[in-house]
Amino acid sequence: MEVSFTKEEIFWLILAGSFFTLFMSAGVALLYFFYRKRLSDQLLKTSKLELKRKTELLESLVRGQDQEREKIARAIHDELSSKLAVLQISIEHLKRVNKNENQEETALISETIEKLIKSTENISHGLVPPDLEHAGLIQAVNGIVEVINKTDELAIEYTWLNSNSGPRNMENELGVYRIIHELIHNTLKYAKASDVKLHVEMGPKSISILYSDNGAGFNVEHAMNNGLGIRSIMSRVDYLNATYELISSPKKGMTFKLND
Amino acid sequence: MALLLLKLLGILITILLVIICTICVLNFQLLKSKVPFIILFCFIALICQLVSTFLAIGGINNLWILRVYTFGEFTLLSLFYYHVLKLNPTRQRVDWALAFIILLLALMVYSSIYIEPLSGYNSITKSMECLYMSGLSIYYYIREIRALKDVTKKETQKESLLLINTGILLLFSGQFFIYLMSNYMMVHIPNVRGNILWLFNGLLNFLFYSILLVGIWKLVSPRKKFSGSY
Repeated sequence: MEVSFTKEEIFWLILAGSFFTLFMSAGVALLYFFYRKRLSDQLLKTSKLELKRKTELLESLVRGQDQEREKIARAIHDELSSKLAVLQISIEHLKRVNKNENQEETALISETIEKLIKSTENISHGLVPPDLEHAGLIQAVNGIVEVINKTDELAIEYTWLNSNSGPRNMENELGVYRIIHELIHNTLKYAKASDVKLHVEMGPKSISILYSDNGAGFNVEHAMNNGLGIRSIMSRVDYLNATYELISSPKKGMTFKLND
Repeated sequence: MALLLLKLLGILITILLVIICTICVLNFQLLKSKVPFIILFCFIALICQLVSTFLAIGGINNLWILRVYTFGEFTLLSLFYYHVLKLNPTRQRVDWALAFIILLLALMVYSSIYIEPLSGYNSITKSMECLYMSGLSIYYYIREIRALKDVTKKETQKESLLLINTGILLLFSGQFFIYLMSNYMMVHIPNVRGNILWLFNGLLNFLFYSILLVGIWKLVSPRKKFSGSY
């Protein structure tokens, strides 16, 4: 059966066809963008969850590491050091009793025990810095700086401001101490820097640090995803509930600011 | 003006097809395992495009080329969906999906021989193909949107397949009305007015091949590698 249209009907038919085609195309474009939006939302959700999981894992790792360090340090101090001290006293006693016999051997033993006591002290202090507990963060950091400055590898310019006269938050101080320790370690190991500027400010309820070196610098995004040291710093920052700013790019050194 | 634009679109589509086929040849080993039917489809499309252009230049009716092209297009794109949608996952004894494709192909051949003369458009066949392909691509979209909740990372292959699927949906959903009316337009509608719809058709084809090019390029382009140092 032959169907025929008037000119006006043909015009409307073409118009309707054009609209239909445009409508369908717009529908497809909308569908595609809807899918892309859902996909990016889902990926963002997944990456947030993954990041949260990683942060929690690192936090618990850091916390566990600190607790374990403290335990080992206490065990070394209580068990090993005290027993070595007793042994040292016994040797001294033996030296006094046997005045002329085996003087050389007892002197050698005594010297070895003394070295052992010094070594265990060093190990124990490395695990939990005693300066931190007794003299506070400023002095504990000063201890590291002095040791580093004695070597020719790096010159650290250390300044501080302490306006905290109230009770101390040991957990936060230890966290900040470990962050500074890690920053110096990274500078020494990777940055090949000659100068470091470190400023620490302690308020009644806050600690802030500003650390910068003139080293090789790095790709921040890459280091955040792959650098274990940086991730450990980030997890400590998270654990302290602090804010930070990390600025660096290859060959331009690095700057790290922390506000607790 | 519309005729000039149509010719320009024809040239652009040919260029796009040449680029796509070159990419397919250069990356044949990689692409044949991922989108084998799409490679074949691109080659058939290029051949049909070139033959129809030469026939048109020689003033010979080239509408029969559209039958060949539709047959190849339907077969290969159906197989593409059969492959990516895994339409017979349990490997049943009777493969209904494949049987349905064969039935539609038989209907196409029958329609081309007995219902619509070779000198005109294959309006029924093309409209049927448009509906079938739109249905498959919408099904693919629904399946992908449902699977979104389990997505954990970006997959280049999935992204490429989705782009190709989007191109197919855009082409066939837009073409449906045009081909439904094609035979009527050829006889009853004056050239200039009719060309507006054919211009849309050319534009849809151009968009489809552009999207196809991006999809294939994403499949073969090397992944970006992160580099940096502390």
